[in-house]
Parts: sequence; C-alpha cells; structure tokens
Amino acid sequence: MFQDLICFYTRLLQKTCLTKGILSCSIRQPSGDSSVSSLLLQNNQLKKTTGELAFQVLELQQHIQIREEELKEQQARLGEEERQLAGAFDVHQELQGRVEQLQEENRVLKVEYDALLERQRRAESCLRDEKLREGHLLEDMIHLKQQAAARMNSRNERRSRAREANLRKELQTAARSKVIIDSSSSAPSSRSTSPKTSSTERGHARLFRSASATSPRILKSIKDLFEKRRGHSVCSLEEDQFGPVGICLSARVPVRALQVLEAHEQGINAVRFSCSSDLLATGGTDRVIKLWEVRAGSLTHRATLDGSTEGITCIEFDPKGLRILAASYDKSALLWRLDDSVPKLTLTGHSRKVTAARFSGLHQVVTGSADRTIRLWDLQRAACVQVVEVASYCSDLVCSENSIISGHYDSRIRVWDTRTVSCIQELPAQGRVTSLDISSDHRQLLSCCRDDCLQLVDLRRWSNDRMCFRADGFKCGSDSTKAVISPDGCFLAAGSADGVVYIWNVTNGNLETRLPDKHSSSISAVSWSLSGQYVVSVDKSRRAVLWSDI
Amino acid sequence: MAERGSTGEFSGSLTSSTLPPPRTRIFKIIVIGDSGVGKTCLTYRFCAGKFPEKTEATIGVDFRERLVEIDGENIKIQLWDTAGQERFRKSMVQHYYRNVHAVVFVYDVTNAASFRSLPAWIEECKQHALGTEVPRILVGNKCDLQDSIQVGTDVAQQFADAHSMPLFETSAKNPNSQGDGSCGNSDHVEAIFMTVAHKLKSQKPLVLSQPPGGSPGTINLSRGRDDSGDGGRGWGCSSC
Repeated sequence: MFQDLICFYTRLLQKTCLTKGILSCSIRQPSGDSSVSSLLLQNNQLKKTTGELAFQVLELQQHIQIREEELKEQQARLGEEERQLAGAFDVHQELQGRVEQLQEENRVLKVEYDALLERQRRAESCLRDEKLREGHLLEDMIHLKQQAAARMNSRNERRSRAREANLRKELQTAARSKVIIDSSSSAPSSRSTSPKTSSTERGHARLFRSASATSPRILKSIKDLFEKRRGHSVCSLEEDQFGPVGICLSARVPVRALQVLEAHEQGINAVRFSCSSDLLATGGTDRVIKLWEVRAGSLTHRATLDGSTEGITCIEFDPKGLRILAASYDKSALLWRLDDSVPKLTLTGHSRKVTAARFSGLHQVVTGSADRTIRLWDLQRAACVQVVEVASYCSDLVCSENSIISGHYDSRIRVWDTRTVSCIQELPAQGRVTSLDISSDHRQLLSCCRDDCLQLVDLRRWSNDRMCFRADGFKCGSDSTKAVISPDGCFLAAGSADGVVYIWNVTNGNLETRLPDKHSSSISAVSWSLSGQYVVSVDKSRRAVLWSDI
Repeated sequence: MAERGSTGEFSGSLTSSTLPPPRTRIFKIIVIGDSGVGKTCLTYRFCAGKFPEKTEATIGVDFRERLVEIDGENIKIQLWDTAGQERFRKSMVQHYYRNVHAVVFVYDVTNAASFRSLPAWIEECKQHALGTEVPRILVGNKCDLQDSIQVGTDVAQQFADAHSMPLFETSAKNPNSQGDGSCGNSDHVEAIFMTVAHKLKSQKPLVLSQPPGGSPGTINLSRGRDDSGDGGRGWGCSSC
C-alpha cells in the first residue's frame, strides 16, 4: 500500500518537473499575443492541474491517515492478542502445576491404598487365624461341657442308685425282722449276712445287664465260700479266702493265639484273670479298666470301669471275685464293685504314683508306691491304717500269710511282717525289681529284674534255694514288666521287649516255648488263668493277645 | 470320698454346691428348641427368679438347679439348658437324653420358623428312645411381644394336641403379662416347671412303686395305665 503511494508520489513529482520545464520554455519564448494567451491558457491549465494534484495529494494524505489508523488499530489488536496469549500461557502453567499436584496427590493416595490393602490382607489372615482359634476353643469348650454332662449324668445315676439301694436295704431289714420274729430262733452272724449278700447281688444283676452274664458263676463261688466256711472254725477263715476257688491241677502251655485285639485306646499296663477264670480285667494308660468275658476261646467286652484320672498300673480281683482293686498313676488306689462302673472307694494318701495294690485280707489292702512308702488300708473305714517308709521306690508287692513281700529299685526284695510291720528279711536281686508274683501255694516267689532274669525263690528255705531263668532274646522291656507263675506252679511266663512271650519250665529250668509274632511292641504284662487254660499278654501298643493250647 | 470330689466341678448352679441329703430326688429336665427361642432365659428365670440382662449362645449345655418343696418332699429340679445351634450341640446330644425325666420343647411365638422345626426336635427325642412315660411339654416363649406374634395360639394348640403335649404360652421376660390369668398373679414360668415337677413326683419310679413283696406284674399294670389313659393331656393345665 505504501509502495503504491510512493510510486504515485514520484510520478506526481515527475509530472511537476515536466510542467515546470514547459513553463520555463514558454516564458523564454514569449511570442505575441497568441503566445501570451496560449501561455495564459497553459498557466490556467497548469493551475488547474496543480489544484487537481493538490487535491490528489490531500486525498492521498487522507488515505495515508486512514492507513495509519488501521495500522494502529491492528497494532492495538495485536497487543491485545499478545496479552491474551500471555494470560492463556499463565493459565496453562497454572493448570500444569495443578496437574502435577494432583499426580502427587494420586501417588500419595496410591501408597495409602496399598497400605490399606496390605492391612486388609493382614486383617483377613488375622481373621482366619482367629476363626481357627475360635474353632479350637469351641472344640475344647464342647469337650469340657461333654465331660461335665457325663459327670452330671453319672452323679445323677449314682444318686438314684444309692437311693434305690437304701430303699432296698430298708425293705430287706423290714422283711428280715419279720422272718426273725416268725422263726424265733436265729443263728446270728453267718445267717444274716449270707442272704443279704446274695439278694443284693441278684438285685444288681437285674439292674445292670452287663454284669449279669458273670454273676451266676460268681454267686456260685460265693456260695461255695460260705459252704466251706460253715464247717470250719473262725480261725481258718483267712485260709479259706486265699485258697483258690478252682484248683488247677495242671497248667497247659499255650501254643497259639486264639484272639488278638486292640483292647484299649492307649498302652495296656496290667492284666489279670479273676479267680473264676471266666473274667479278665485289663487296665491301660487310657485311665480305664475293661472287663472281658472269656468264653469259648474268645474275649468279649463286658464293661468298662472308669474313675481313675490317670493310667492304671496294677489290677487285682478280690479273693471272692466280686471287687476289683487297681493302682493308678493319679496317686491313688481304687476299688470297684464289678457291677458298678463308678469306684466304690478311692484310697488317697500316696504322694507319687501307686505301683501296686493287693488284697491282704477281705477288708485289707496293701499299696506300694513310687513315693517309697507302703501303706496298709482298712476297707471298712476307707482309711490308711499304717504307713511304712522304705528306702527305695517300691515297684511291686505281694501278700502271703502274715507277710508282705515288696520289690524295690535298689535291687532288693523285702519281707515285712504284717503284725509288727517290720522288715524281717531282705533278699538281694540282680537288678531293679520290676514285678513279683507268688505261687498259689505261697511257697515260691517269682521276681523279674531289669537284668533280664527271672528269679524263683523258695520261701520255705529263705535265700538258700534260688533259681534263675534266662533266655536268648528275652529282655525286660520296662520298669514295670510283669512276670507270672502258672497256677500249678510248674511254669513261668513273661513278655519280652521284642514282643515275644517266653515260658519256662520250673522243674528243669529250661525254656519251654516262645510265642512270637503277635505283638509288635514291648509286652508289659501277662496273666495265666486259674484254670490253667489261657494266658493273656498285653503290650504298650494297645494290643491284648489270648493264648491257649487248643 | 470320690463322690465329694466331683461336686466342685459343677458350674452354673444357683443353689448351694454341697450335696443335699441322699433322700433328695433329682429330676433331670432338658429344655430344647431352636436357637434364640429363649431357653436360657426361661431356665434362668425359673432358677434365679429374674430375666437375665444379657445372654449369649449356649455352648453344649448349661446346668441350672433349684431346690423346691413339693408336698413336704424336697426335690431338686435340674434343668439342662441345651444349645440350640447345631454346631454347639452335635456331639452332646446323647448326654442330653441319658436318664432324662422330662422334656420341655420351646418355640418362639414371634418366629414361625422356630415353631415349624418342632417336629424335628420331637423326632430327635424319638430317636433317643425316650419312653412314653417321660412327660413332654410345649412352651411358646416371648408372648409379651403382642405386636409381632406369628404363631397363633390355636395353631399351637392343635399341634400340641396332635402330639399329646400340654401347651403353655409365656414370656421369660415378663411372665405376669399373661392376660387371661390362668395362674393369677404368680410367676407363670415357675408355674410351668412346677407343673412338670408335680407330674414327675406323682409318677412313682417303677422300681420304687413296687410294694414290698409285690409281684413284678404290678409294675406293668401301673405303667400301662399311665400311658394309655391320659396320654399326658390330663395332667397339664394349658393356659391358653
């Protein structure tokens, strides 16, 4: 636009110069009037042209002004745009800052989120653990409640049984008094006791079916006892009790296992046949005594006696076969009637486990304990009548007429007089005594020691005559391994650590037989039935084996 | 001496922990029903005389005892408050039913489901070979909540009749709110359990009912009369 203007302007200047040239010419050649008039005309023309040109100049100047204003306006607009741009730029920066800030915040939040997630995971695993614990606690609690319920039930039963017994007794007294009035003469002691015992027995048999199978024979044996007693004087009473009810003429050496069974839930520590030979008791670490009926060469579970709070260490039937005595790890000895699963008496007083409990009379019991005492108990008063301090851990004891024989960990066997309660003799053994057994004629004493040797002592000739029985492979498995003499006194039986039952012949001192393969762990005890027909061995892995020669 | 040892273990008893003289008879009564119907509250109400402020789900069983005198004889009522939730009771059931003298079925009148599951409870009872001479009663609990009753008295009465059980509707929380007043101002919960105790007392134990020198035949006769005659309906008093 400017260029146009400038071009225009230069052309104008050229034109002006041209006009000046023409004018000067005309001035220099003034020729007449005509020339003057033409010159005047020219002058006029020129003036006119000058005016036009001046007008054009003005017009152009106006153009220039308009252009300049336009320019200014555009510059102003430009400035404004630039300002806006700067503003936008600021906003942009600001936004970018915010973006960064937000990103930062996001990062923080993410970290927090991760932390929370972690916490949640932890809480969840915690919850799982707690749930597990809850389950365990619940289990424990229910277990306790079960025990409480069982205890409550047995308490109720005991109470109602006691009530019944009381009432029955009252009835009987009532009935009996009438009888006495009728028959005016009476034989006081023996007559009044015998019908009572037998009638209570009958009552119990009706109540407790489990015991009923055994009772007729028991009843017969009691009757036998009373029959015998009638003929004798009072002094011979004790002898009668100790005499075996069924006398064994000859024991038969077992050759094969008739039955193998997992009798308890834990290891079995003790086994014993009753004097009628048809009842077997086993006692285990699982705190119960189980009664088994032995019939036709097999054992049938009849009853379970509970009440001990720890494992059973030793079992014995009373001479009449009506009660059972057991020693327990819970520092007590317990007495049950065979028809009642709840103990009739608990003899407490020992300060460590009781290792042996034996009847020394109808109403007297002797116990030996790891607390190095031997205690004598009166069953009628349920009280300890005598405590004997011994130098060593008592592992087993047996009773003979007027004497108690105890075996100890200091490799000694001690003989005590029950009347004076003093040690009348000490016999040496080859090692820790684990068990004692006395033959049914009370002449021979068998001791089993940790040196893997059975020792048979003739009690009539103290300490002079002594036989040792050993065998290849026979190893005494524990501190309480129990060996026995056969009821006829001709054989010895003991179980070894390798699960084999060894039987020796007493007459020639040789090993009679080995009964292998039925036990897989150390045999803890054996028992020989009084009929001589059966041997039962029990071991630490819950197994009981019935052996016989059939 | 062994007997003395076990008394210390007894929990939940509100009576003294010493053994009463052996003459005291014990009636073992189990209370069963769905979870949350108020078995614990009912037994607590009877033994402690008040409504427990806060109870939690019973685990296994809780024992509650109360010594009452009936016709001059001291009788101990031993309530077995059983767990309603299956997982808290499943291994306990055989203990519940051992030598039980009476069974109390409880449902919640504001919860129809608890009423509908009664046949299952009765079936469980049957499976444990309870003799027909064992009295059973049906108790509808929570009847103080008049506005939300879901089980009508007539329906419940029909059910009770069908199973030859007397029906009681009560509330362990507010036992005196009973409008129709079959037991006047006395505590209704107490009346229910005392009714059971009276029934048990009048029902002589079989062994003891035998007169001196009587033949066993008499036992069967008396038992037969008990079963067939009233079938349990005659002795209870339904309050509704």
